[in-house]
Amino acid sequence: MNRLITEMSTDEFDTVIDAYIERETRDTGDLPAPLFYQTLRDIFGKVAELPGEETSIQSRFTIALERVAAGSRLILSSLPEASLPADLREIEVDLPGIRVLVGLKPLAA
Amino acid sequence: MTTTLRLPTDFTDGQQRLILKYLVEGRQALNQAEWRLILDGFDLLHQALIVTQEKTLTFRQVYQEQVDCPFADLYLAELLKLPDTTRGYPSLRARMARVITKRLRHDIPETNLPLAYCLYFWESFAAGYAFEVEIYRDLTAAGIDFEAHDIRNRHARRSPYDLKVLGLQGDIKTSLYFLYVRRGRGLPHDFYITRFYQGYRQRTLVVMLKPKAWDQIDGDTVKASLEKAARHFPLPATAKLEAGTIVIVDYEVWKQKVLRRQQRQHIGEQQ
Repeated sequence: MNRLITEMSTDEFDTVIDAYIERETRDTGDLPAPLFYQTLRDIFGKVAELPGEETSIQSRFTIALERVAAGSRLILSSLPEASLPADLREIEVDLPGIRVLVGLKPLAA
Repeated sequence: MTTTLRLPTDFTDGQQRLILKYLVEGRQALNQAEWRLILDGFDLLHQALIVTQEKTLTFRQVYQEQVDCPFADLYLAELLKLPDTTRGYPSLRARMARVITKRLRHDIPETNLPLAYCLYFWESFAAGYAFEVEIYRDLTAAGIDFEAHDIRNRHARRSPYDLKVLGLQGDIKTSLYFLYVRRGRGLPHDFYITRFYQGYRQRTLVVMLKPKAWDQIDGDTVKASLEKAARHFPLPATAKLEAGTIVIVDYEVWKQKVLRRQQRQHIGEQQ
């Protein structure tokens, strides 16, 4: 492919363009994955190495709980040394196959 | 009529040869370095000049006059009539590309490069809006509340973002080209819906979000290198980059999380 577009005859280039338009009818235009990631890297700069890659779950806030069985109820309590953010409004519990969201209301004074 | 081209000095013969390779063999024939050079090449060609006895125009102005003004609205009106934009748009796009070619050949004869430039951006435009319509229809079918700009309106099409979900501003991009040309200038939007293919042409839709946008949607992420992010799907992945951190999520997972968040908001509003 050593030709320059500007040096091609219009007839010759029109043949290229006809084939291009026809081929594009079968092409989704999606980038192949390697090109996609490389382009992303070009956009945002090189990827910094992350420790614990592929293994660690990055939780925004983790708190240790202890459980207390009280009759037919299970009570989960934070450990005495734990501190909770004052603006905590929701607790999320991720279990295999189930995700539990618990909304919190301030205690009545 | 004598027509002369004045190409930017930074635009190389190598880039011109690669554009020809792309036209002849398709994007699958290009490696990463070649694709990058082509993107840079098309970027440079915005400022290339076509000089005739009557006037001097940049390639960008030629595209506006010869392609965007006469064909953009027409294409989008036809696109919105298609029951399946994903399957239907390529033939619509090609039909109009042939008309554009004839028009350019008539108005700017004897020049090949402006034709290549205009058709490349036409193909990108047509594919981009086909994907945008596909996403809007899919979000509607999923029951997700969103505000989108009106693509039938030329002024609205130039809105700074394509859609708003959960108060977050997002863009829908078939290609990373539009982000690539912004490189080094940061990301203007909270999230981007885009796509690529991997393996045996398996189409992958992803949403890339800024961490603060992800925080509104919820959920943990797996730390991953950029290239391996999709391997963790359906788990969302966080990739740390020089310009900041992005969260990459499978589109279906993102939709589910958005829907859940919106449902919770609706319930909260009713209480």
